[in-house]
Amino acid sequence: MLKMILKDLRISPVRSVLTSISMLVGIIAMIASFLVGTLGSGYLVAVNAQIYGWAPTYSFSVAGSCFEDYSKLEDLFLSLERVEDHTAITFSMREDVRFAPVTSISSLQNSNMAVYKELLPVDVVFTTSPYNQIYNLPMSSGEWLNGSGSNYSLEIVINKEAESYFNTPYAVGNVGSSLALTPFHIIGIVNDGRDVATVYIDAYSVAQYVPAMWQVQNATIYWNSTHGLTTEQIYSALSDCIADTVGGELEYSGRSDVGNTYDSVLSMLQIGLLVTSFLLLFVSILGQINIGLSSLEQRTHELLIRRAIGASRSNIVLLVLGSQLILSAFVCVVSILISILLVQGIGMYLPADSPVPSPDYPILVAIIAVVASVATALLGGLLPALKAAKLEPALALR
Amino acid sequence: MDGVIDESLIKIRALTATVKLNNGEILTTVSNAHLELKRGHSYAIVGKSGSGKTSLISIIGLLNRCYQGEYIYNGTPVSTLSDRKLSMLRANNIGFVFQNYSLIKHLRVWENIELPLLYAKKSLGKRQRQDHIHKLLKSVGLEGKENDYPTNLSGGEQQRVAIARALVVSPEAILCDEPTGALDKKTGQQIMSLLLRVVKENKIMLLLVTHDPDIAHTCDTIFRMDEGRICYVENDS
Repeated sequence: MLKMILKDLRISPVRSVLTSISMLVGIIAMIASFLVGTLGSGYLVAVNAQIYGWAPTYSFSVAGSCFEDYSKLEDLFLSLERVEDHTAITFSMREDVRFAPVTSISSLQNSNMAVYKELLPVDVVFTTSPYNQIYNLPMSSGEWLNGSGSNYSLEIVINKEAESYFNTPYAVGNVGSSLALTPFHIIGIVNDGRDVATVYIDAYSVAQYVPAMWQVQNATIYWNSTHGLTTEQIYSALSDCIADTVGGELEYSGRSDVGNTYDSVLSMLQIGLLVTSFLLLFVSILGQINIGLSSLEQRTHELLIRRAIGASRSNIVLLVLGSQLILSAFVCVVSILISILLVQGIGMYLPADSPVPSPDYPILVAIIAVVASVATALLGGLLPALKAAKLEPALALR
Repeated sequence: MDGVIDESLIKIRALTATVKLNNGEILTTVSNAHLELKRGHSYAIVGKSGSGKTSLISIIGLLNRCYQGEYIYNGTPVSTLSDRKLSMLRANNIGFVFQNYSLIKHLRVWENIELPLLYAKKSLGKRQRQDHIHKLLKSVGLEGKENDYPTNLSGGEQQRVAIARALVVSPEAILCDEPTGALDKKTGQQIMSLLLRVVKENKIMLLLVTHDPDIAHTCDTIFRMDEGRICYVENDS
């Protein structure tokens, strides 16, 4: 039977190709709408997480605390580490910190004056290593802060905007009230999506080893809720944590879930594409019915002969519908291949430090391709097939 | 009765068929027909155009179920059979030869002949099928034409292919509608000789509709139809 159906498709190759293309266009549009929903949504979430943090992230400001007491500060860090959700803390200093690039630490003794001239004010984020769990911070090169700084190798990470300035393996930091130059090892370059040069410093090691720079004015604690805690629950937990460690006042600053605000835009886009794809598939179905009925008129005599020599109604339905289903299987394979190439292509063109990870092929797309192909073929082929089955074999003799 | 094959293949009693015309009138195409058709015998139905010949042959060939009366095929009343069973019965037991050959143009000669085997669901391997088709083509004088398309054959050759197609399932009956109607006299005679030879060799019942008295007289029995009635039976025996 399969051979017979395949032979049938070869009677009019142009018709078969045109039918396939009309099916393919609709199915590709449908696949595109789902890719927008899955990959597009992932892209928006990742980019928003790079700038605003993973949603939902709650932030709390902490003021009037005893951050200079290193043992209390260590207790605070340990308390935050024990939280099951992701938490991080950043510190604002009373004095701006300026940085200058240096090629080697040993050269500092001889060229202090030159270094002072090169000191530039940059955005400095004093934080802890879990900061990259609050924000989506892909590394362009090197590695993120790991909290293992030592007196002789304090570590910083710079962002891409700062890369052109800090084209050296080391940098020195300085606060205006001091002549001291503190050397830092640049361990990585991060793509944080910011358009200003930014330096990320491991607060843990600065607090321990560079007291001149450690002049905390206030702090901000970030809490990315992955367990569905309410603001009140988080506030209560953090209040206890602050009271037990550095003390001070905790104040709720806000909740960042910008990623969700794009959902409605994305949904509208997806609905628009879905409606378009349904219209295209509908047109394709109408085209198939039209082609099927016109082809039926052309081959009525042949089908009557088949009926006369023993084909049952179901044989005829299978023959007419079978060719549509074979076409749909072919279209299905082609559309899945195209969508795989598309998804792989996106992955290939993403830079190494893209905030979006190389996308996985969504299996849902393959399922949609199969369902849409078969449904289109069935709806487009059923009417001609049923009409063909109703042919009276006695007419073969007329 | 075990081991004894009943000679009678088809029995028809009080068979009447009607069709509704476009103007709403009812036309009786076959009226109160009684027939008994036997294996190994040949029958011809003759009559004017519109006398009901084709209607009768379509009912006998299990192509038309719109009739009243009794039709028993090899002991089985066929009026109650489903379309699927009727199609299987037709595919396995009845071969057709049509006036204008009725071969499927986009299939090769061997594919046209193979078609009834596929519908009859005969459990033959590919090799067996090929051998069977090859023998049939040889028996109708078309050896070597397996891979030709029907359009490349002459009218006589196409009708030979149609005969081979009718014979491929080793049927009990062959029904022909004007088998020589589209052929010249000489080729028509050749085709008739071929048909009569194969039905005698294989003990097949042959029923043909014809306008040609010479063709009709080559058969054992002639039924003459007029206005749906079998009004005259001429029997050689």
